[in-house]
Amino acid sequence: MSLSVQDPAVVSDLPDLRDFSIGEIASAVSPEMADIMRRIIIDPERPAVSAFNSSI
Amino acid sequence: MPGRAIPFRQVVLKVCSRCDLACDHCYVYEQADQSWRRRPKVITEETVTRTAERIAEHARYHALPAVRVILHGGEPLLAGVARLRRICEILRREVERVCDLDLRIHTNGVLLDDGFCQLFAEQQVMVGISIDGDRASNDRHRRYADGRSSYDQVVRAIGRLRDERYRALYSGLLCTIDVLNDPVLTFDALAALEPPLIDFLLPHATWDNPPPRPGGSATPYADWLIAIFDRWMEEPGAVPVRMFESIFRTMHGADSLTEALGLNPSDVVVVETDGSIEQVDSLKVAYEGAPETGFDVFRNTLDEAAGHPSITARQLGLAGLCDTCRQCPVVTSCGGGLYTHRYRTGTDFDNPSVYCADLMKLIRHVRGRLAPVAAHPAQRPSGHAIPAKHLDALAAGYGDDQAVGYLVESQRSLRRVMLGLLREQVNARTLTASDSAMFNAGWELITYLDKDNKATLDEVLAHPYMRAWATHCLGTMNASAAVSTGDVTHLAAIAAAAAIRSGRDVQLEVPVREGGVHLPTLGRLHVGRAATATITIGCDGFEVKTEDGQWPVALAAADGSAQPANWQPIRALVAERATMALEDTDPYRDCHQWPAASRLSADQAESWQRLYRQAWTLIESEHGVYAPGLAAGLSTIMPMANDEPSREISAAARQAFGAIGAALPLTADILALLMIHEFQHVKLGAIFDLFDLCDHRDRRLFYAPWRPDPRPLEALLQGTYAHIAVTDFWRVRRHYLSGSEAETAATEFALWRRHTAEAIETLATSGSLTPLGMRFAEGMRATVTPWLDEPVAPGADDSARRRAQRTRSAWEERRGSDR
Repeated sequence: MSLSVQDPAVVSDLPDLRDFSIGEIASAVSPEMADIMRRIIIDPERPAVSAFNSSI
Repeated sequence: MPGRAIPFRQVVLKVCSRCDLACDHCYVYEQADQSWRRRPKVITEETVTRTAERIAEHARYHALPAVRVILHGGEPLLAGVARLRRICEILRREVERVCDLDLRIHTNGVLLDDGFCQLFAEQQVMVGISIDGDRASNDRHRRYADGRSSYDQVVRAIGRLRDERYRALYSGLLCTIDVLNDPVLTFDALAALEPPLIDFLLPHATWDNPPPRPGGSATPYADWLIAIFDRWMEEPGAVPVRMFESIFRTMHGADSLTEALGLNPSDVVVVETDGSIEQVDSLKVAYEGAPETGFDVFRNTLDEAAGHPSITARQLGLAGLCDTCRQCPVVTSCGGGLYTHRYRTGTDFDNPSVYCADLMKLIRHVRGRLAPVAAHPAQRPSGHAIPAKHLDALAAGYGDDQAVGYLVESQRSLRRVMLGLLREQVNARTLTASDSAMFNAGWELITYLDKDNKATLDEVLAHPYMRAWATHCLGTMNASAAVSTGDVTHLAAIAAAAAIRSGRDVQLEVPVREGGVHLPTLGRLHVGRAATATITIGCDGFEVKTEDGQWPVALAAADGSAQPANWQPIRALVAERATMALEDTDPYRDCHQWPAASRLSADQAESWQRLYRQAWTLIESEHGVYAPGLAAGLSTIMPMANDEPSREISAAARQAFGAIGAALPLTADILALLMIHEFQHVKLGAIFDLFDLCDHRDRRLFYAPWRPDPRPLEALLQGTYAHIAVTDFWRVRRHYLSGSEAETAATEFALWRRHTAEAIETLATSGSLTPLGMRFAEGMRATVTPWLDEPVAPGADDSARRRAQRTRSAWEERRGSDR
């Protein structure tokens, strides 16, 4: 994710969709949104960080 | 630090070293490097064959699915139709034995006649053409040696490519920027030629030879491109512009489409007409011989060239940039600009781009014009924001309920987007009629509840394994057209769970998985072999019906009503200020690296409850700084299978925010430690969902003191962040223990503070942390550094030092044997 630093808050490009209905979101899926999600959820290049385990 | 060689996926093959134009901005003939004078005018068949063999060898070694070869010059059409045909045939013969060949040519176009077009159609060669805009713009530089304009010939050539017969060959136009030209007129002239893509090229320049800046403007190139960008944005569906598309893509973490922007490792190599293997052509503007590697296709493999220091220097992403660039807020989009443009005598390429101010202004303008998502035109959403003080608390390894609350809220957006994407992807595929009906009914119910009882729906969507399910579905659909429909119909079960919790009267079909109806956040009802079940929901419970039976389930069994024996509700782990779900039924919970335990017996659940209450009391009393964050963000503990009772097992998963997995340990203090440790991973995973902390293109592997194997940077960051809490746990715990237990705790503290501090320095000096990543490294360092001065018994410190040395030595030995 890219970010812009606007002190005192740090802003992500993950859109704040809490006030958008799921129907609205589904009807407006954009390439940018798909890019964001592809990066977050199904990036096959990042398997090493998809899960962690520890044996302390 | 070991790493894998990055293969070349694009080969620029110089088929002719001379040109029929004399453009005064050409980097081949008009700049520092004059090596063209020593090259053969035209490549020989022997050189082409050897090059093709080298490409095939390279593709085979790296198992590349495809390689792009771009025929280039000078002017490649000067090679003539017959020679170009032979070149294409040789390349296809050798390379296509191993992988797909994407064959292209880039030309000034003046010789492009029907003969060439027919050849390119036969050989499937995509054609790109250089043109700088309208007639006046183009004629400013692109002229013959005698001063004649080339414009008419080029436009005629483009006309051929726009013809129906050759349209499929037309790959785009390349325009070198001259800020004396009118930007909008230039763009409109190019767009009128209907290219599938426009590529704007900043004129090659270095700090030694900066670009012209007429009129004294500090950012004429940004101003020129911004004028085009604004014009371009006025027309939805306008021709793609590679530079703008790349800025969009890199805003969201995707790869750039050009080596002039972004942090992608360079994957281009050049083969000259004499077979020399060289770096990218643009380096010719830096100094005489700058692109040289000393290798050639007759004596060297492409892998040897891939290991050349000058080539690997362009593959380091963030770590390959100067300090100024690494601290820059737009570095993920800019990537330091084109490597060549960073050159300055004395510091070589360790500088920002000579176009730094222009790139900064352009990228900020583009970002400012774009909402993060093109959703509702009237109310485009802003991005999730975390106040600096809370982000810094998280960076230090902590974060209270408010700080973690920001992460929880961002996950709400994320899950809504996931549902939207899932709906879109399901719509694009064909399900069976019954699965389609089930999915659509679930979707309708969810959208209804979203309006009717959003808070309750959000509680169900917040279930950790809802995201694991959606991830699984989207990943499956992304990888293959074949959809596992049993998975997507789980949406109906999610909708049913939300409806039950809302007490809405509704009836719908839900899937049966492994003999059960699964209702996220509620539990599982065993129903036998049926494929689907009908669930009827009322205000005080629900009833499930299949062909084999019918089972009523009361929601609040506190009234004493009996529950069916086949109903397995989610149990709660209860402590005074933190109640969590003991999740042992969800079908998507098995997403951690250790396997999930099957449904716990009543006695096992009671053991969990007893230990959990003790662990939570210990967390609040001894490690109170972690308690508010845990209570706010950790909702679920998932029991794991453990075939070695003495072994402590725990895990977190990026796709299951809010959950940790653990096998029930022997003692409450270890459960407290596992919870604190794993929740660090949960927090940092959610931060990764929001921000880039490091350059994920950096493929180097690093020493992680807690692992036998070297780790990628992001994984090292995760481990370091988690071990801050481990160190802190023992730091505090040792004061509450006595005797040998206190000694053990002191040794653990001494060991982990040493390991964690070392890992923080590895991160901080990697060069691949983003500015925000550095902020995290500094936050972690500020937490751990004072701990290094805390006194511990000499025996504990000695023991820790010996253990740390043994760990490091073992790693060094393994590293040596792997070489």
